[in-house]
Amino acid sequence: MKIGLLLVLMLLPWALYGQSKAVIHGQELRLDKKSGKLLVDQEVTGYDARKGVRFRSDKLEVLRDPTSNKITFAKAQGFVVVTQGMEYASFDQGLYQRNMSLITLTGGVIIGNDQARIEGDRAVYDTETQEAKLQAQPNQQLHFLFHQQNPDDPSAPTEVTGVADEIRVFREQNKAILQGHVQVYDPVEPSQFTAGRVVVFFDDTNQLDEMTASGGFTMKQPGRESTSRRAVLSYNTRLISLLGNAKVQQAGEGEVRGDRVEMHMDVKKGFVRGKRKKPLRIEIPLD
Amino acid sequence: MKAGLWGALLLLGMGALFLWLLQSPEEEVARRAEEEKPAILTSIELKDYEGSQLKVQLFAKEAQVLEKAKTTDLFGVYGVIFSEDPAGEPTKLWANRAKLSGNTKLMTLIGDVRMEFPQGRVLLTQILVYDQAQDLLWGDQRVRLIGRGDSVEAEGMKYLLQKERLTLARPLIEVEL
Repeated sequence: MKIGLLLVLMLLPWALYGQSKAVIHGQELRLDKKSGKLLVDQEVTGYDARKGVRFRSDKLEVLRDPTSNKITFAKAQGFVVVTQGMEYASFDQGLYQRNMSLITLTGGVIIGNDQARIEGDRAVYDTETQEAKLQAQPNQQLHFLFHQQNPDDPSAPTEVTGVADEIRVFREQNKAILQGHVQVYDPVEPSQFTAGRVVVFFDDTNQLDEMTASGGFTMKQPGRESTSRRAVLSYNTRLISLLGNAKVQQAGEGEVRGDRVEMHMDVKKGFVRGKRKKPLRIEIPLD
Repeated sequence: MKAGLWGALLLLGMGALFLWLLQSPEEEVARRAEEEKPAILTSIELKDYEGSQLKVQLFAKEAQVLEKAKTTDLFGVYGVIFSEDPAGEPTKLWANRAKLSGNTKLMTLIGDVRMEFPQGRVLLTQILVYDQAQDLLWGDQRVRLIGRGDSVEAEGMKYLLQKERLTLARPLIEVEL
């Protein structure tokens, strides 16, 4: 698995997806004779020894296809918690519908591991495309937390936190897209930026690699304020590239304008002289 | 005084034992002959109706009826529990034997009890009680429910015939994913 957050999203369908066997305990089991549905009730706990996945809920319903015997529908209700090692997910209700290739988690959804956490009200995972979409309740925002390498102490990563209207996670591409009134706070410099859309790339250690912001980028740091149409924030090199109508106001250094401005995240280090070694990675939405 | 009383009781006991030992084999045979011999019936069928609707139909290879004791033992039992819904599939059951006692409206199914539910699920246990009055099959022995990729072990069961609802107590379920 490439990044932790995506691993978490992959373990959500554990009870429904992938070839394995789980042992489930409960206080009562009811069989619906007509549909063949199994309903496990009260203090439901499950364990998949092969995958090391643990599960608990108040209720669990499982329905199989009468011919193929595959699970076609499953519903877990009441403070559902799924864990696998450091990964965890909790929610009020989880619903799996095979015919729609969807897993829908609702109510107090928290997905995380030791490197990342997302909190929202609803998560929809497409088992075909392996993409997940997380949303908050109406008029509220999702909260997220990602770890970045601390430039002063690589062994003690720091947190980048923020809010967004919606988060999409793409397992195959090792990235997440934050959309709608995105606000990101980085305590290292410190800095706070806003944008309409932010694409987050993760590295192999599950930590932040790069963020590309678009849709009106505005960043405030002590002694510096920057705006541009788009921006690329590289967490490995600690560099920011402002692209398109870039403007930087830095205390004591006046204002810098241009179509492209490169600067250090650390305000004290100022602007970059010379060229970037690594090409910029920018995603422009087509819609 | 006390020792004398114990001695008398001992003698009385030994006398009773002696008399019992002296009883002739003929007397024993006669005593047994007085015991009720069961009426043996073969290929029998029992039906339980709810109004005019057939609820349960039971077949047995053999029945031993003790009229005085008001008990009936059925051997090689096969039964069908019909669904209230005319389109619903019936539930079938098998047991090595079944025992009906008096007018309690209780029948105990004993030995290799097997219930077959629609959609390929089979329940296995050793003792089940069919309570006609409550329209209920129940058991507090270990129960296994197998089939359809799931295997369940539980510490008892209830099957409400009218509602067609099977409930297992404290289940341990192995689910094929």
